[in-house]
Amino acid sequence: MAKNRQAKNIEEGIHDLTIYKKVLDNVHEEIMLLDTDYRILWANKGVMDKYGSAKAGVISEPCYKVTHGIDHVCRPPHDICPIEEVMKDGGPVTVLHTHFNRNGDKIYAEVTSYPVYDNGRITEFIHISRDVTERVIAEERLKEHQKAIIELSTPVIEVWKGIIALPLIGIIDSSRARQIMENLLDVIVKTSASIAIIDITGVPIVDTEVADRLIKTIKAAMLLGTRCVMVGIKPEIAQSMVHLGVDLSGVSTFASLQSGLDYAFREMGLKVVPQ
Amino acid sequence: MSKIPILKIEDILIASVQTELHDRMAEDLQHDIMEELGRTNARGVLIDVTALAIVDSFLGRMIGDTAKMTRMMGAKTVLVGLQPAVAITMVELGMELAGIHTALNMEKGIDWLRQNTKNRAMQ
Repeated sequence: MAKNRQAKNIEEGIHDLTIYKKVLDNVHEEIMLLDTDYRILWANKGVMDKYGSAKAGVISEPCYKVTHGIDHVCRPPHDICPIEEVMKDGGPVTVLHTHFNRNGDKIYAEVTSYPVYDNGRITEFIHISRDVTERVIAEERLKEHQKAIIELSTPVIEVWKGIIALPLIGIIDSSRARQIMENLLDVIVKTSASIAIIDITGVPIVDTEVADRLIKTIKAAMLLGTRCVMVGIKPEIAQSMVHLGVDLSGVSTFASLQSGLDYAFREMGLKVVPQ
Repeated sequence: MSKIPILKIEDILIASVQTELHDRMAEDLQHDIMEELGRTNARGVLIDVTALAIVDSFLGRMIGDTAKMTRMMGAKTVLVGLQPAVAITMVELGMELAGIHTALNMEKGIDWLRQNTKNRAMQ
């Protein structure tokens, strides 16, 4: 009877182990167990597949050598070593690392490090890393696109010598307003323009915030010594601005770009005559 | 402490600030400009702040006061060369330098002074 029970226990133990192995080897995450000297004590199949080289395994190698191909612990300004962070905090830490896989390709990995406690002391670390290269690249691309859109959305045109125009299209939020301001002032300095025409025909909503930002832009341009003209004020925008109590005194405003240009030409002492 | 030199070209006094302007230096500059204006009877004052990275409220008021003082003595003041970043900061802080004429660079500032002081002479 006792022998039978023992055999049954062993059978159950083996069964459990097979299940653990099955689970650990079939997930895409790379899982390793590290000692306090950063050496890999155990690694799942994911680690071997991604970082293992043909001639040497990954066991008993330091983690930074396997994943980064370097001979020292990760430290700023490059990647931050999660183990050191765990030692400081005592809790799990997640960081984004740049790894190199077995083919030497650069990949982005999100690494979480969990401490293993034994009698209140950290004895080992569990590292779980996931390949997030696609996500990181997509995020980077998105940032580039956003930058491109911002640049495209605030063009400054030199209409005439000394006259620049700034056609604004779309909704103006705080970051765009700042971009517009910086862009306009830079162009003013570059072209040494005397008059800047701000065309808000394409701005669908002018609320107090947008108006405030436009006025700030105008005042900053005036500090540089450039007069600003605001054109493209539609009837409904004029109405809403008055209802909102937006103060546009001190700024020349016109309904159309044409009348704004006409004003600018007159101010510059120029005249457009038919041939 | 160094002083800001004041140069005279025809009817215009030119003060070009080439270092950061401390409060004391700013007061001295105002004093020097007024002294020089009294001595030479110039008709225009040009303050060049191209090299300034910061214009605080004290300096802003100092420039405004100088403009008012020179106006009393029959001279016009123009401020030239404010940097875009400085202008942005000033607007964010609510400083508008009301009543002071600004110009992009020294050339434009001198042009403006010439035109405006000439007009006065013709009147």
